[in-house]
Amino acid sequence: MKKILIVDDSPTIRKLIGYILKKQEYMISEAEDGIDAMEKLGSLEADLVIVDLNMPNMDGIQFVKNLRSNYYHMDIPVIMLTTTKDEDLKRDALQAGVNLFLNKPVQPNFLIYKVESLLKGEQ
Amino acid sequence: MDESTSQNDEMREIIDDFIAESIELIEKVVQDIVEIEKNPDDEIINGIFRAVHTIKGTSSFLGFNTLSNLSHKAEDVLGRIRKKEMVPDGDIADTLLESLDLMKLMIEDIREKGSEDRDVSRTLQKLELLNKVDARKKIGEILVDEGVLSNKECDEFLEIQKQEGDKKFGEIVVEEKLITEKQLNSALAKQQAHKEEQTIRIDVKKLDELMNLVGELVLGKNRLILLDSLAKKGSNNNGIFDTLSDVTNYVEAVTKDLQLAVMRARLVPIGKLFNKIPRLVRDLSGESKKQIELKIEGESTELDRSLIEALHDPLIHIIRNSVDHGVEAPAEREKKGKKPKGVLSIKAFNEGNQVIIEIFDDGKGINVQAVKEKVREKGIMSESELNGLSPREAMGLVFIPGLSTAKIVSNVSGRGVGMDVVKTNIEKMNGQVYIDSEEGQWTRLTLKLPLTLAIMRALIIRVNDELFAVPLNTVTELVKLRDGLIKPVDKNEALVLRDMVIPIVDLSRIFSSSDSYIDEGYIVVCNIGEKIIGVKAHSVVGQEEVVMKPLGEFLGNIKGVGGATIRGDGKVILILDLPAVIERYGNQRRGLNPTRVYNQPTMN
Repeated sequence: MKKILIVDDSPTIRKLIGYILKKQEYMISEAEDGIDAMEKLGSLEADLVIVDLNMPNMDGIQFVKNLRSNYYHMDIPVIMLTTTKDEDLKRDALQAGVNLFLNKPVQPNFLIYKVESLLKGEQ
Repeated sequence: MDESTSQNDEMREIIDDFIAESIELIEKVVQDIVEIEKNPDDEIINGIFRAVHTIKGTSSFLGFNTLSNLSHKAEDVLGRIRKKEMVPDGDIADTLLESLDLMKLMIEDIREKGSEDRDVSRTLQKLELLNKVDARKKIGEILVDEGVLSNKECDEFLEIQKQEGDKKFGEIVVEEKLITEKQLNSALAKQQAHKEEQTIRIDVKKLDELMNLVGELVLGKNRLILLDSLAKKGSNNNGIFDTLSDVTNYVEAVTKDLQLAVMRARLVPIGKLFNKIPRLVRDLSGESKKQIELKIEGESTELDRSLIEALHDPLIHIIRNSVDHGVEAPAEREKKGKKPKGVLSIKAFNEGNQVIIEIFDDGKGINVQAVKEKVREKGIMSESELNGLSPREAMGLVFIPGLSTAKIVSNVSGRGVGMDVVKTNIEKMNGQVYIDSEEGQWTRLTLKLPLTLAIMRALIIRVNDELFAVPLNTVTELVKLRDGLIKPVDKNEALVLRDMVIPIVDLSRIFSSSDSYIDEGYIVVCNIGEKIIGVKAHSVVGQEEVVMKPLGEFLGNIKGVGGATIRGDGKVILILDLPAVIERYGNQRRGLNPTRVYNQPTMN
């Protein structure tokens, strides 16, 4: 079973994304910010990470940068799921190594499809 | 079918989570906005931005588009503040607070009706205006910008400002005027009882403590079972009884700890309530053009959750009173030689088994003479009665219903309803209110509250053949009856104790038909707020910890009875509600105020 880590400071969002993905029999783990996510990744071999941009302590971009510079997590696919019209931020995120940049609200089926194809791409 | 219902349930759960989370976020943000107005700290601004961002994201996900739209606009403004493109001043804070209020209303709509349907166009307009106005100049000097605007735009702006003026007060009223078709809808929603969430956040440590105690209780149970089987086998060992008393002691100790732990688990820091005060004071002082320095102490003092809720309205009323009537306008204060900025200090602390809340302001204090004047004018008391009052008693007159010494009735307070409601509410919680003041200098209100409502210590007394429980926190002393100790005063009875004359309440006259003459027994002297009364009892059974149970709908409205409790032998006894007893006793004496007894000659 594939493992997905959801990183968002809002428990409701985490639950909601988890709810969407659970239908597809993924194993879901949650983290509330970048630092928490880095810690959780140490013990959890996640196959994919869904991350928010705006978070306390360590934000999404910083998290992805850390992730990419870590030998073990270098090639985990990352979806950034957030709401911003700021093109600069989007560019920063993609430069940091985000595989896919999505804006909320996202259609559940679209998210499932993207997750599936990213997971397949990795195999 | 099954799957779709479970999906619905899950969706419902997510929406409930969203509601709880958003309300919490908004409450925090409201405080923070008040804070950044004074001190635009980057970290706080970031926090606000993130919170609003979260609400926007989640609400758009869940399809609450109006809410998401509004939060989006608010987020834009906050984004600009974050990038230092504008400085949060009073106007910006007002608009942000207004939109947060609206967001909160919408979330409450979602909780009650499942959807949010509100006209947000005005607030949206204001937010957009903030975005637009400041787009011209980098630093948010809105007032300067206003002058720069063309005549037509300026007119528009003034128009909106005018609207803003009447919107600050009762937002809802204006909105109701605007949306006629939705009037019915919102009125219906208001009629529905407010569905208050009955959840509590609890420290894991407290929960562990509970679990530990339950574990020990189970051990006690096991020992009892063992004893039981030993006894059944008929083993004649005398040790059984020793062990039994041992186990009984053990269970008693554990139960006591368990009771304490559960009580503590229900306690919530009063900061939850105090958090709302800065915003309130800010808005009120803005409306009345006063300068007020707010000091809050003891936020971590803990109080039962139900008390915190019940305390909300009285506390807000007291604060409104202080801001509106207490603290004077800056010019007036300077004339009196005070600092232009008034001080309002709110302090909470523990004292024994009680929590004390003090609300102090250095405003104009209470004019006792004016209060007396008013009482005379309304014909509540006669001249001679008023003259006989001690200064402290006279101060207590402000608690009489329908009395207000404010010359002008304002939106905030001064309509003569208020202090009596505060008093009734506090007494309903088994608490007491004291007022103290020095005219022209300061006023201090002291609220004394029990830690918890559910369990209290009580004195069990017997009147005729009935037992009553008197809340122990009101009892000051017991006096053994002797011949001649009770003196008839004005067709009533009074006890002369040291240099005090204390009116006597005969419970048998109030609660039962048989009018018995008590010539021996005790007088239980009770102190309720400013009043002292004695309750006649045939005998005193003792102190007990009683668990207060409400009497239910049918019997719940009996005046003088606060509830009932079940004793160890299974008997139900009534718990006295002394303030109501006094009131009822007063009514029975044809509407005379019990304090009147003080004015009579003490010797016959």
